[in-house]
Amino acid sequence: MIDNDVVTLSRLQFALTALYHFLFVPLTLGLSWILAIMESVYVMTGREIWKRMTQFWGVLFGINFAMGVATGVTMEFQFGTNWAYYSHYVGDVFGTPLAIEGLMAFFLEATFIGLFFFGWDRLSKVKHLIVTTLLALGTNLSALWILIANAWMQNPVGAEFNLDTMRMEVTSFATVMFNPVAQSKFVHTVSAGYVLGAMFVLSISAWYLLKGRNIEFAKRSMTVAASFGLASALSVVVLGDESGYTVSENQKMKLAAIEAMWETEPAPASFTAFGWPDVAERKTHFGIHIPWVMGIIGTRSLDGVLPGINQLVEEAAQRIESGRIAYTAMQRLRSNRNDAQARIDFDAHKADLGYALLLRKVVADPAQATAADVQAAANSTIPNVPVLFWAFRVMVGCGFFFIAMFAYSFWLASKRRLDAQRWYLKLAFWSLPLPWLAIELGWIVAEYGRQPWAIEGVLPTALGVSSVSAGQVLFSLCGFVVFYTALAVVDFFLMRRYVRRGPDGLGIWPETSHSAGAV
Amino acid sequence: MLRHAPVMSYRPNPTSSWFRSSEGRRYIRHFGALIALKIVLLAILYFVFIAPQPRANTAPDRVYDAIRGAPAAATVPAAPPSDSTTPREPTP
Repeated sequence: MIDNDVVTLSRLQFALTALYHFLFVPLTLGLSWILAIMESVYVMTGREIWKRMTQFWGVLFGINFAMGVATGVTMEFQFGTNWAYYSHYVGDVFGTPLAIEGLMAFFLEATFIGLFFFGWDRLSKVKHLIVTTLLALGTNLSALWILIANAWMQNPVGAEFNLDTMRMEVTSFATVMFNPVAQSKFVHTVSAGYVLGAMFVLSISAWYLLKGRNIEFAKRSMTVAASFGLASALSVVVLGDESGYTVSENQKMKLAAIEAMWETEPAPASFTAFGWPDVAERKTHFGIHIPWVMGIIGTRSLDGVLPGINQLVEEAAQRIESGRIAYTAMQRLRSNRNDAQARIDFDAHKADLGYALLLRKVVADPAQATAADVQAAANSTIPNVPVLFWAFRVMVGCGFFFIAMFAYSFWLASKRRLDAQRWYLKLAFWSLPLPWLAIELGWIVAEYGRQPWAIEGVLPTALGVSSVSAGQVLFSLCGFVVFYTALAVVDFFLMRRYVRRGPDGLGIWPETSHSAGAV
Repeated sequence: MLRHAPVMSYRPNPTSSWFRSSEGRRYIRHFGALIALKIVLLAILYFVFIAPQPRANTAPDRVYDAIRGAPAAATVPAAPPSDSTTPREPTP
């Protein structure tokens, strides 16, 4: 039987490192384009303040980049130590975009960040702007490749299982690359990063205005952040809708869990704005439903049906039975490669092999499973409904707050009244952690909602772990906690130090000796 | 004609970059120290916590055993860090 402690600890370790890594990534994604926008204004107008703004926000970008760039390396350590069978099973598919991502991240970004810092007095204005733009492009391209890898875990296309090598192998790299889940995930994720970058600039600039420091510098920064943030926040919602639509196509259980939709509703299904999901009774208490909304979002039609959790469990039980045929055919083929009937049976049912593997959590030999075992395995396809339900709603709530916040900021900027209301500046400052919260919750919805699968419908998470002991995983988990805590402390104090000193304290833009000039 | 065209040259001002100032140099030192700290921490993490872990045997037959839960020897010992040229255990 499977050692659940090893599975739980390995998942915890990966979740901690992934969530920590993604504290840095979205700021890099968003801030890099803000730097490119500010430098573009400098190149077009020739006004020195825009160059100094690019340099100051570039300083903070550099700290974040230096802190974040290698925190993802530890996840690759874990593929080898904790997820060896996962790595073997899907490495042929998963490894390629991961390798390209590594090359993009480490070579393209590292090269251009060096040129960004040291090229100010060696390159012409236009050439330096090209460097900054390529830095932003490289950062975003590396995100594209890791999201192609991740999207394949949600929607495994362009690959098939090879019985001889016991792993998934690529049949069409173009299909993997142009996976619709990857496209929608990429645009949604980078837009969320842009919102975070914009909120970072808006909040810190608001703090300067509250302190009465760097007034012209902060107002210009807030104007850029408000316009870029508004466009990005609107994009996040629109592109999130596209992401939700792709989930309704290939991860129906995840969508039903997010909605706590236990029974299949007549089309078009309603959206549950609020409720209290009860897993034991399979009911949602105190539900406030908005008619039609979920059906229209999920199917983009008035007659498309979204299946409920109970119906999907029944479908999973049927696929487990089908998968058992593939599983026993696999056993026959492993003992006799020339068994023609076994080959026919395997090919007919291999799409459901992963479902038979779910039985390994409840019975030692899936071929001997009883009806009760099949039902227990089918029930295990339900992810944690309350966590998904609430994580999704808090994330969406934050998304709508960002639209309101940036729209109001944009209006104030257009009226040149950014420093007129202290309550607004305080709200802008205290909103700083919210994009991080929304983004981390987004990842929880995406990855926790994929459970019990490592690869949707192909490989259960529990079968991806290495054959190591719980003590060994706990030991390395302690190491990761020490590593990340040390980095977090250094990052927090370094970032705070440079923000507090500000453009005036660092000598980037001493307001007393320079004229800011009109915007 | 090209010979008589005005020369479009860019003359960089060596004092124009903040990164050349004393504050800028201090920042670059912090940046470098941060990278060095990360390399050291990553090296410690790897050699203390990762390298001693056993390596999973992922030969196809072993993966088959792992999937069906057969009690086969599924790990190979970690290679000693100082002897990286030693070949791994041959796979079946």
